[in-house]
Amino acid sequence: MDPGKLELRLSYAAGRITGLSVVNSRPQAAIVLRGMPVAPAVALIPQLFALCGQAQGVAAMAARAAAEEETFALRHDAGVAAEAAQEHLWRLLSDWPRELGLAPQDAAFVQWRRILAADPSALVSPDFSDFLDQGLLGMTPEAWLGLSRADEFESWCRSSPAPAARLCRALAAGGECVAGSSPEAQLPVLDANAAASDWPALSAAFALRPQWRGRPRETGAYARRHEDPLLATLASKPLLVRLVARMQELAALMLGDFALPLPGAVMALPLENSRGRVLVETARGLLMHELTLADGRVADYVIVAPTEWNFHPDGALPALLTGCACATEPQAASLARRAVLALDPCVAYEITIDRQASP
Amino acid sequence: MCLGIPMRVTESDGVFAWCEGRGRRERLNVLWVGAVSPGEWVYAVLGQARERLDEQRAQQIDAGLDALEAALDGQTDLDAYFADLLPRS
Repeated sequence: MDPGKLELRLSYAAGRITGLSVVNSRPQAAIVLRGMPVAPAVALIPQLFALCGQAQGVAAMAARAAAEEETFALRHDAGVAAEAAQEHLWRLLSDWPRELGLAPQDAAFVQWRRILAADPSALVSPDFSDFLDQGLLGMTPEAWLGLSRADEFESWCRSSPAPAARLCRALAAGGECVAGSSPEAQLPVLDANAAASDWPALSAAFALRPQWRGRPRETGAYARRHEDPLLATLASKPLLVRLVARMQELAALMLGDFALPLPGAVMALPLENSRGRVLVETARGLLMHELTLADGRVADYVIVAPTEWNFHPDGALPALLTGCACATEPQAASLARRAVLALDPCVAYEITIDRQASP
Repeated sequence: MCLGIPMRVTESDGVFAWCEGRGRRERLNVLWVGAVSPGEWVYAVLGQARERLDEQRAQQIDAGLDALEAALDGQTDLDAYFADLLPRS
């Protein structure tokens, strides 16, 4: 079984990225569930999709409940939240430092990954607060989330010795392309009515190229938090704003600060014709499951995962990269890698550069 | 959808491990799971060993992936792949 990959082909001419094609060869694995009795199908899902197994498992159980018209209240799932925190920690402690030429904190990552996997409630513990203070942010999560003005944030970014501030400095030193994407391109966290009426039914074709209100959207930490006052002031720095959004989510998860939506939110919608739809906010963004039941078997199962939103051929990645000035091809490749990391795919990717003759 | 594959460790130096599964041989980073020994099963995603698996779970995931290959190939009767998951009537 080939897990598939993202093939990203940059067009580069006269010192600029002039275009980007995105080919996604991931198999639409939910097809395997069709025709199965519902109980083993629900049991199989977290086995097959173990990368975000907590979120997939909760989504499958809630989809069954909704399809059987059981009530399933909107809730915050501590296991899904702790799973998302591990993914954010991986990116912030290991991947981003490597990409930016800084020392990764692998030992701290391994330690907190183990603790959070064994006990989701450790996410809201004083020990995790101390780690975020001393090991990442250089101040308490509460004080750091209080940096709501651009000048306060810039002062922290410029002068703090904390690992997170070093990431921000290193990213700034590499230069940002302001082509960017607009806050309007973000997928907001929808209420039950909008989530039911904006997508009357999900399909395999929709799962490949999802849209909301007529256009592709970005999902994930920045989409959930794009109305945050600090992030609004950082919107012209598209990579930084996505990195900081992830830091903010870790701090907010630790504090249980639900002023903005957080990973772990689970909503189940019973729809007509024995269909159940579930929306789960995960580290990488919105995960949707839709189960159609017939005679106790799966008549159809659709899974819409964050990577298909964020790597839509006409979506966030081309918007982040097209038009960006890069003096050399290696610089163009580096910017592309950072943009991919900022959008956080759950599948391997490959970047190739097509050099075009100067006009 | 974040598909990974079960792989069995063949050699390990503590940071990376050579693993085999589903006809592939790959050098995985074992940061997520810690040191592994030859013979152990892991769940491989994005060049990382993400989880340790026991043999039974590795076989269940393998069966699920076999079924998926069959489904993508156009087969519709997949019950045989889920013998240990499906109730027999």
